[in-house]
Amino acid sequence: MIEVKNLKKTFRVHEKEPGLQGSIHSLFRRQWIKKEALRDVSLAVKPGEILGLLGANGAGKTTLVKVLAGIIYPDSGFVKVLGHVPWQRENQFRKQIALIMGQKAQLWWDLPAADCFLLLREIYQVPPLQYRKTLDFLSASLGVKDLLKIQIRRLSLGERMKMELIAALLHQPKVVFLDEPTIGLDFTSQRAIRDFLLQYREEHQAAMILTSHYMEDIESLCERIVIIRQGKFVYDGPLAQIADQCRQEKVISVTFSGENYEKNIPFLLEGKGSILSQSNEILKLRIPREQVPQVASHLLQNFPVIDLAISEDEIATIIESIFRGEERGEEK
Amino acid sequence: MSKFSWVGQVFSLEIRKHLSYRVDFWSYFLGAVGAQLAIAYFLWKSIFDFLQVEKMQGYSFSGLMLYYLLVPLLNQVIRGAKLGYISEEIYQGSLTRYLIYPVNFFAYKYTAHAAFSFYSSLQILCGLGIFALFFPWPADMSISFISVLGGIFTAFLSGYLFFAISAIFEMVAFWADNVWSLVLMVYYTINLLGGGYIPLSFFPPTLEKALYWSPFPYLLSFPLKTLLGQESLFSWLQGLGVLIFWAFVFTGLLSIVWQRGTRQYTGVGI
Repeated sequence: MIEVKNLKKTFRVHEKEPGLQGSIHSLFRRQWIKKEALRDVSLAVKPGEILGLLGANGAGKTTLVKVLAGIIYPDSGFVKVLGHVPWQRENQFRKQIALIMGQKAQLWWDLPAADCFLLLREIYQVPPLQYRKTLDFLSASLGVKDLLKIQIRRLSLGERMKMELIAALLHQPKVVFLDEPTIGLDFTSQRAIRDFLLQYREEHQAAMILTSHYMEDIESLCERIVIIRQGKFVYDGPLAQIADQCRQEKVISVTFSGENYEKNIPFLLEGKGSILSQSNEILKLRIPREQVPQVASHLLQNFPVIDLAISEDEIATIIESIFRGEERGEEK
Repeated sequence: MSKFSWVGQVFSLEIRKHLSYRVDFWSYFLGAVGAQLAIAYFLWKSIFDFLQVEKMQGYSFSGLMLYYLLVPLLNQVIRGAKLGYISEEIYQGSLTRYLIYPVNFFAYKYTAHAAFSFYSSLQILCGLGIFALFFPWPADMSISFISVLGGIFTAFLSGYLFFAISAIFEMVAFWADNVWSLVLMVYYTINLLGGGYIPLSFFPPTLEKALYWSPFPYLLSFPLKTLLGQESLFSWLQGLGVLIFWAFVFTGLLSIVWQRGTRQYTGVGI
């Protein structure tokens, strides 16, 4: 459904020195830098699959989504979405996709949502009966039926986002691009949108690409994730694999009763794990799962321990360390 | 369901949107039109009084007043609701929505433009009525029902030409973010060479004649003269031919600039 091979995109960005002098200088001579947003990336997404695209700010997630939706042209590479080259923007292609950008309103601010939807019905040529049925279903599922006649600009962020979702799905697209769809929303709205997306995927077998900084979005929606760092894919695989990594090691947090324990650490670890953080009284260790009972028992027997807690790393922590290009156990 | 049923929906939506802003409707009419008319009244009154003449370049005093009343009204029909909105869409990244929706961006924007032209043409009728109340009807103008209809029809065609020209300049925003000054410069140039500040008959005859081969007079003076009944059927048809020629030329250019510009588009913005 989505096929990408060796995709590259570079932006030319104007750089200006700060201050008045920099502004005057840039009037006559501009400094440009090249920013590689996508560096030879490849991927494929099947029908009914929700792919989570993760990366730090500026990693290239939105650029990839924009290329796939046909908004921007790449420098090189092969892309086919539903058998179409996106940037050729054929109407047949545009009728089958949707793009939702959490940071950017796409509906007409001066109009009530109902008027926007009517216009979209005409634009996408949705038959009246199907339109009525879909709108009833979508507005009821997202709980915004009573807000349809209110101007978009008068709605709250969460309400507006729900309207954006309805607008994007009215024509029942086969491919949906979601760029941070839950940004700035409260927990209830986030959950409502997540549930709704799962339901939509279930019913329409749509392929979705989701970018989000909220791990809850990723954990509840995506079975597969791609981690992108400085325009390159550094991980493409099941989310479960990352979760398995979390289960391979445990974190032991120990609070001591003020005694100096530091000199005993090498002896304590004996090559069994690594130090995550340490302060005067608190020590955090990452220990292989099978070594945990031995280390915990050793700590309790040989040190004045006030408190000891054993926990697992969160998926987010591991993903963040991949964002930063760190090896496991290096973070301090 | 027709492929172009969205056109009617956009047209109707635009009209509804403008009608909901009543204050804007009346403030433009009374403010901008009134102010322009007042300036023209005092300026030309002193010129006519000083020169002690009945007519200048074929215009009587009340004829000139009618001209200056119709300039801003017809300008609204031709120029649409807002200057710089295409460059703003590019700058702010809201062009993205039109790249996603399966409609032609310019067809969409021109429909909105034409809806505003239709709505603004109502103000022309109001303006003519109010003029008749305060000024003697100029004998040098032969306004008739047919000339008003012809003038408004021509203004719609001029509106398309203006739309195409201004869109080309606004699309410079694909390369240079802020093009407001450029858009304004084009606007004033069109106003000057199109007869917005003074009728073209006040220009040197050679320049006036040359101008009629350029697109400028067809962006104001030509539809205005048609409305005032100053164009014969032959000269109107001839003018219409030139107008349509320029409309084709600028549509071609528009398409080229769009093709190249969208390659530069990054979709970033506010």
